[in-house]
Amino acid sequence: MAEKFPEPLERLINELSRLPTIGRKSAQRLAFYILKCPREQPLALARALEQLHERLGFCPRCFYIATGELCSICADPGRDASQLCVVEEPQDVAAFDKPGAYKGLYHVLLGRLSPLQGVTPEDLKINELLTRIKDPMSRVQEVILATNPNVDGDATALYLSRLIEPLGIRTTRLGLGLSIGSSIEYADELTIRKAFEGRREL
Amino acid sequence: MLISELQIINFRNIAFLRAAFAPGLNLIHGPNAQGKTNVLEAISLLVTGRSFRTTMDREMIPWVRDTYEATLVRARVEKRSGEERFMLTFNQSEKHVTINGNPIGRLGELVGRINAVLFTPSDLQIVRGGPAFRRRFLDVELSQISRRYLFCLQRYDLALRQRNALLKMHQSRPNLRQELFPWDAQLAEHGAELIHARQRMVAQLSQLSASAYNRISGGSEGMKITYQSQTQPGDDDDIGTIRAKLEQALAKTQAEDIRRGATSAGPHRDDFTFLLSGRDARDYGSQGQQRSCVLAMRLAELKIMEDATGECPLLLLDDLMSELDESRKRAFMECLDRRIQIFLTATERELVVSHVKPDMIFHMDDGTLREDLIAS
Repeated sequence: MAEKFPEPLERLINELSRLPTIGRKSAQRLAFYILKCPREQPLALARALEQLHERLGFCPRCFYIATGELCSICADPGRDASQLCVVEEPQDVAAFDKPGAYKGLYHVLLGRLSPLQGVTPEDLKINELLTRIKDPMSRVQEVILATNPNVDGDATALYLSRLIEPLGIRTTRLGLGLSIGSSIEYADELTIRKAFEGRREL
Repeated sequence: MLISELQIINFRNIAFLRAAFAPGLNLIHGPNAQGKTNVLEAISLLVTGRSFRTTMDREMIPWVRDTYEATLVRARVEKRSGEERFMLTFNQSEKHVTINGNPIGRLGELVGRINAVLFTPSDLQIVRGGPAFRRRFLDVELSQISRRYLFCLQRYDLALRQRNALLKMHQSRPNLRQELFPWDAQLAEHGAELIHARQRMVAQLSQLSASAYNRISGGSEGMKITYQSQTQPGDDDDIGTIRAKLEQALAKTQAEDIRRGATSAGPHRDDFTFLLSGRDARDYGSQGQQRSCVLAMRLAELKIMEDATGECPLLLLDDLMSELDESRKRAFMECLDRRIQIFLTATERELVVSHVKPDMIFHMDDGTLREDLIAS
């Protein structure tokens, strides 16, 4: 049995151990560290935690993080509303949204299909995606499926393409293959195969 | 390919072992339960990252040593391309592999770096046991020589578990068929690759083991191996054709799958059969014939692996001598290619030296390995 600490410490340990990748041992280490810290540091952390949900939420349109009514991307009139990039998680938007790479809009599913973990289509923001595309005001002409290239991500993309294609909207899957700047000599066999499958006219 | 030096620390009953091995035949003899097979098991850990005896890493750590920190298996391997150093360490909670001092991220990256063919007494199960033994044999085999196969196998397996989860837990969902589609599509894509590769592998095994069988058994039964798949691929079907057939098979059995809560078509249900004079060796073969089938197949495997990798694989033979009668023993020994590095365990050295002269002889006694200095 894990030893019991005075109530305030025990409570902190319990809360910390509910976070992903943090077990009871790590939670204990963090809690003791916080106890030793000068008072200002944990208070700053507490304030940051408190404000996170007060001042941030998910954008009701694309489910990326938003501080106001809409997220900064949906609220930007300079964005190309004809392209919609579908991703699994908010952090994927942060990864894709580099200046000059992509100017369109996003839609975050907040997960991926995985029956083993009990995740089925209604658990994802799929209905919201379809409503968004079907909206008479929508200018979407292409949906780019940018879920992860693993079994669950591919399944999610395949499922979505079946729903979106009948609407007469172009659906594309993000290309896979050689990474820029790396030497072909060191690329593994699977990467090379994918690169060949994804080749195009120059 | 050969292991020039091996070091083992805290592995089952072996507290410490360090030995240099000969390029040819290495005999390890000693009574039962002294740790002979543990040496072969340790070597095979470096081949696949996993044990051929257990799926529990915990079983491989010594149980009475209270100062236990970790288990280590380390080898110097000479390949055509130069020397490579492998080190695997693990304890109850962690497992690490380094190659030439560089840690590798996933255990899967280890597969195929050292090639070995292993024969153990439980190989008889490949002929006598259920289809799962035979599928596992093909999967282990093909994963060693093809990264693409391993990739497809891992993806197929996950897609299958996802599909079965959907069938079991969500049977009454209104759009079940629509939700099955993305998993079916991936099963067909990766499954077709598996069937195609296995089919070609079985054809090669069949061709190469036929002559080895006759040499070992001294008979002329005409041994054949045939692949059976519900998908019924033709011998010359390409991957695209097999994929289309698999898609059809999945569509055909969908209603039944929904009812049963499991997937009934696909390479996870396939099998292969050993035929002797056209009859299934599983039902009609004697034990000696069945053993000869497996050995002949292992020899064929050696050749296939060498052709695929350009390296002569290691041959690990566990307790082979007690498995075979005199004439088969002699015939098998004559079949062996002396370019191959062989690790052979036997309960008595005479069982081996009366047939063939080993290049090095070791004696295993209570977890301690010593080279025999007695000239043979």
